[in-house]
This record gives sequence, C-alpha cells and structure tokens, in this order.
Amino acid sequence: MEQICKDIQEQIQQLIAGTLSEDKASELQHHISQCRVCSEYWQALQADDKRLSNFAEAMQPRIRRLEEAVVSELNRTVSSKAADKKSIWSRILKSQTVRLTAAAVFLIAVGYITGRLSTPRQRDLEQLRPALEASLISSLEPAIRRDVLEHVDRRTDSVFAAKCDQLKDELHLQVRRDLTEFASQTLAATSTVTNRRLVELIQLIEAARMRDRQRIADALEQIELRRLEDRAQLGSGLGLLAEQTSELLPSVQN
Amino acid sequence: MGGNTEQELVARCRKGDMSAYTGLVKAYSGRVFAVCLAMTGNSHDAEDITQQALVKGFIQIKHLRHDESFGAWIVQIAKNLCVDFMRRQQRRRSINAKQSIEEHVHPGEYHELKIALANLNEDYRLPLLLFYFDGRSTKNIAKVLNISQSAVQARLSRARKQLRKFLGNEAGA
Repeated sequence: MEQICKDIQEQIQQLIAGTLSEDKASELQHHISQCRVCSEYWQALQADDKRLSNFAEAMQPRIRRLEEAVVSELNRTVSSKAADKKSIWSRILKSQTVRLTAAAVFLIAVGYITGRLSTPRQRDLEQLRPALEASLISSLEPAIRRDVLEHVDRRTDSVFAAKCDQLKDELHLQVRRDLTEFASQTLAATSTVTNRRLVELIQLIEAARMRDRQRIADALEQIELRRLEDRAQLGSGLGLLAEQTSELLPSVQN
Repeated sequence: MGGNTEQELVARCRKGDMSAYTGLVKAYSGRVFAVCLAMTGNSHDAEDITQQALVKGFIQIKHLRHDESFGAWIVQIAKNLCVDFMRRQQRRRSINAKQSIEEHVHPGEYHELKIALANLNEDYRLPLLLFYFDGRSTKNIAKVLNISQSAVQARLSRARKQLRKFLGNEAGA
C-alpha cells in the first residue's frame, strides 16, 4: 500500500468520526472515488460504523427497560421506607406487650379512682394546718439548719481556698518582683564597684608608669653627670700629663 | 443536559425528588451502560451493574460533592461495581472477560461484532463504546476518561483500525 493511502486511511477514520473539516472531507471523497484500495477501506469502515450504530440502537430498548427498572426499584424503595415510617405506630399499637401495658394502666386507674371515691371525707384543712406546720417545723428544722451550716461551711471553705490561692499568687508575684529588683540593684552595684576598681587600677598603672619614667629620667641625668665628671677628670688628667710631659722633655733633650 | 439543569436536578434529588432522578437516569444510562459493557465485556452483566449503579446513585446522592459532576461520579460508581464484580467472577471461576462474553452471545445477530469488541484492547473498547452509546460526542468521552479530545480521537482511530482487523479477519476466515 502506498504511503499516501496510509495517510488517507487515517483521515478516513476522522471522516467516519465526523471530526474532519468540510474542505478536507471533499478532498478525501475525491481521492476515494479515484483510489480502489481507499474506496474499499472507506466502505469497510462505513460498514463497521453502521454495525456499531445498529448494535447501540439494538441495545436501546434494553437500556430503556433498565431505566424503567431503576425507577420502579427506587419507587419501591422510597415507598417501602415511607410505609416503614407509617407502620411503626400501627405495629406498636398491634403489639401484645403494648396491649397488656394499656390494660394494666387502665385497671390501675380504675382502682385508684374507686379508692378515692370510697375513702371517708377528710377533715377540714384549716384544722389540720397548725398541727401540720408544727410537725413540719419539728421534722424539717434540724435538717434545714444542718444543711444551711454545711452550705455556709462549704461556702466559707471555697471562699477561703479562693482567697488563699489569690494570696499565694500575690505573694509569688511580690517575691518575683523583689528578686528581680534585688538582682538589678546587685548588678548595678557590682558594675559601679567594678568601674571604680578599674579606674583605680588604671590610676595605679599610670602612677607606676610615671614613677618608672621619673626613675629612668633620674638615672639618665646621673649618667650624664657622671659622664661630664669623667670628661672633666679626663681633661684635667690630660692637662696634667701634658705638663709633666713638657717638664720631662727638656731634660730628655739635654 | 446543561450544567445548571443538572445541578438543579441533583439539588432536587438530594431532597428525595424521584422525578428529578428519572431525568438524570435517562441522561446517563447510556454512558454508564457503555462503561459497564466495556469493562465486563458482557451486555447482561453490564445491564445488571448499570441498574445497581443507578440505584446506588440515588441512594448515595447526598455524598455527591457540590462541585462534582454527576456524570463523572456515577461513572466512577459503575466502574467500582464492575471491578468488584470482576473480582468476584475471577474468584469464582478464573476465566477472563474475553471468554465471559461468549456465555450469553448466541450466534447470529452482532455475534462477530461482540467477539471483535471483546478482543479489542480495553483502552480502545471504552472510548469506542462510549462514542456509540453516549451521543457520538468526543467531548463527553474526554470528560469520562479525563483525557484531551485529541487523545480521544487518536484512541478512536486506533480502535477502528483494530476492530477492522478483527472483523476483516473474520470476514476472510
């Protein structure tokens, strides 16, 4: 197969997919009408396309049935959930236990009402009030007193504990403040003393240096004086030597 | 289906509106079926799994994130179900998809085509089936496969070529 036909066959696939431009499509159609190999390939691909389209088309009724099945299954699910919600009460009402409980409650209620109706008339409440008040005071007062005391104790304890905590915190803060102040003062004092001592040391060093310089100057002065003395002595010695030499020379010459 | 319309339908479905979900089912059943058919290689299994996926889609629609497309989400559910199904199948009988397609295919209508499709490379089978089952749109296929449209066209071209080879051989045989 020629290379040009291979390229054309690539384009034929694009033509089938419908992604080829109109110009290229008409050029391609022209080539197909001229070339037997490409024409056969074009027809075969068209047939494949038709087969696939028909296959997809043939599956459509099954897909539609499938959609209906999905919808009906979901409807069933939704309605059964709704039915479940509704039937909870009916199931509760139908339950044997609930029925027995209801009967028991009914019987108890009937018994209570009958009892209330059959008891003798109660005495007047006004007559009973003083006795009731006295009885209540005597029975409740110690308990109330005890409760109040306990409450006050608890309250005092809690206030005391809170105050203790507060005091502890304040003391802690005060100690910290004092320590910080002391530390800063100590540091300041230490640095002042150190500075003073350094100044003294520098002064001492300076004085020593001055003394040394003075001593050196004195020593140099002494050396100079001695040199001058030596020189004078040497001069006088030489003069004496010259005198003696001049005295001796005539006698030698004679 | 427009993006807004789909979002509206999804919003109604979240509130339990079944009629809204019917619209989504009609819009995406072809796509989901094509994915299942491509993965299982068997139209009956594909139908079952498509049905399961679409039912699951409605039940779990509250888990669909607001920024997520329903199409991509339902396709992912279907793919997961297909993977589970094939794992079960492999455990039950160690046969491959190419053999399973033969089980339900009766000689005759589309017999050769189904065999050729079953023999296609899966990378080519999925775009080819999506093309014919989901509105012949390369844009949709690109969305489903998360690849570019030009990559879809290349795969479709190779798929047709391979299919032609299988169908040509059968015709020649």
